[in-house]
Amino acid sequence: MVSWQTTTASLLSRLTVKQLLQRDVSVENLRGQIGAIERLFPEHPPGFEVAHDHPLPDCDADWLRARGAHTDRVLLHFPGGAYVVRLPNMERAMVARLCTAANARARIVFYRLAPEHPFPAGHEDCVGAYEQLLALGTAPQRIVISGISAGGGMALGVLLAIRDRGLPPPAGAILMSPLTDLTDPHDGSRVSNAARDPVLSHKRGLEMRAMYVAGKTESMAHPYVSPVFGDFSGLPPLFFQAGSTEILLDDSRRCVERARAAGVSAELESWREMPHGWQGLPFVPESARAIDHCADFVRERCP
Amino acid sequence: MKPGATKRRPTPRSSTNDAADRFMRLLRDDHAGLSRVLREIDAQQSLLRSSPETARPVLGEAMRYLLVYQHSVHHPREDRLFARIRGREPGLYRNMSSLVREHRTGQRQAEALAGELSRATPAQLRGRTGERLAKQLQAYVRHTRAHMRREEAVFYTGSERVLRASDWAVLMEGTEQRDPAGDLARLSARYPRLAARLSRPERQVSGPGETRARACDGALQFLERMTETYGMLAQETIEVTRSNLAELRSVRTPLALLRTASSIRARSSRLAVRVLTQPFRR
Repeated sequence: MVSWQTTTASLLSRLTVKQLLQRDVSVENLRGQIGAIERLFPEHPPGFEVAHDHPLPDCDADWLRARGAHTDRVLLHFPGGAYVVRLPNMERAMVARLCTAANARARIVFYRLAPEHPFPAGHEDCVGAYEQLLALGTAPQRIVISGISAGGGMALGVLLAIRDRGLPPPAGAILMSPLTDLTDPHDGSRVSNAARDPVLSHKRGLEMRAMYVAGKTESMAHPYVSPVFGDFSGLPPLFFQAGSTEILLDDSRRCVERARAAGVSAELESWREMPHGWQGLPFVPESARAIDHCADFVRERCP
Repeated sequence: MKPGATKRRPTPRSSTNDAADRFMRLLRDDHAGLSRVLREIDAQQSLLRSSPETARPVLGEAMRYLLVYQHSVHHPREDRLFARIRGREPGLYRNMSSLVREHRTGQRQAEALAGELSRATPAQLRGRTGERLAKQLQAYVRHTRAHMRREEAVFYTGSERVLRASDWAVLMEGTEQRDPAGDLARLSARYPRLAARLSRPERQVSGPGETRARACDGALQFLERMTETYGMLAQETIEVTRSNLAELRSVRTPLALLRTASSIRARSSRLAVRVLTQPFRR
């Protein structure tokens, strides 16, 4: 049974966020209205230090660590937001909860957004952040990459690039409701869950996706853009979470199938009736459980 | 250490470091296996009421694994480590005695839960007993995770600094047993259902108190459709109101006012028709 908090959040999202994503509004308007959600979250998660040392050349990035914590586990996190919008406070709050549960510290990469900076700008920012972690002396087996929504797709694209560039792989990756196929096949959960998904809609999908690839629709099938088309061999263990009523559920399912076919350890947790991005809603009990499951994965892969 | 600063894991340079590294690795690997099983327990407890036939055998094996390995092999290992640390620096970790106590209480809880799970009938598991057991299992999982986090604070912050070569040599004695959860092939030999679950590509996770019959599913989906429809209409209403106000503000002459009134009436009428008819369209 879904908690009343989740039911309420889904209802509100259906009335607001989903409507907004379906309507013809400008990017600025979209950023402004989605950004209003930010007011619900503090700029700095309580009990955490947010630092900005070792800046990245082209984008902002935070270090997040619980005060007094001693750990060598590092989460390299990529935020969501359809590559177009961003909720930094909400992301920090979620990653802080994951850091607490997994006894880890985090590097959050606020990669450059479209349409101002289309692919491969953001992708290069994220690969650069991983290379920087290695250059700083972090052992790759102590790094877990994570991402939510578009950040999940970004994380998979980065893993493919890490493998292609011959860099040592991280210990694993957490993909929360990742967007892994920008070619938007009109089948599977994208159709069957279209009415039930309380957050996402693909009515304006093509327009939003085209922004990320600067209108070059042929780039949408590039494995770094739509990692579901990539070769998964040689990737580290993958842990997916998605809601059973999300239109993006099959994005995860297809990746798990491809990864396992390539001999990669991959599993999907399908959470009954959870809305897209529920892991980021601290007032939802299922969010705490989902974060705990992610932390279990971190502890499992980074003992 | 600044958040940006990094630290490599200590590399074994001498036999002391090697023994310490091997012992700590053993404990960390135990935690890795435990985390894997806890995730499965939490997923299965959420399905206990709706699918007791499949959830109970998996949970039963998971509890047996906890009792046979984690509580009987891993915790005594940790207790010996804590005792050694206390022997060297008694004031270093005040919470160590509580960690040892938690090992005992955790074991008692696991034994009680395993017993209740095996005794309950399927009908009981679908009812209140199942609900209570699911809550207790969830609490056990939560408590065990918090306990692991507190232990890691001890592991990471100085056991290798405090203990000497002789301590590690003693600790390494009798540590042949390895966590079966670290290797699915080995796990399946003793816990086949648990291993089969862990190797599945997809795991269903549900909220608390999930039951098989969802009589209100149809009503819920109807409510969702209505919410979405009215949400869309509300957005349209806001947009029409904004347009009407903007047009009214731009009126400068009586003729323009007449034209605006006509335009507002037409726009509002179209919206009213949509508000009245849209909810009844499929």
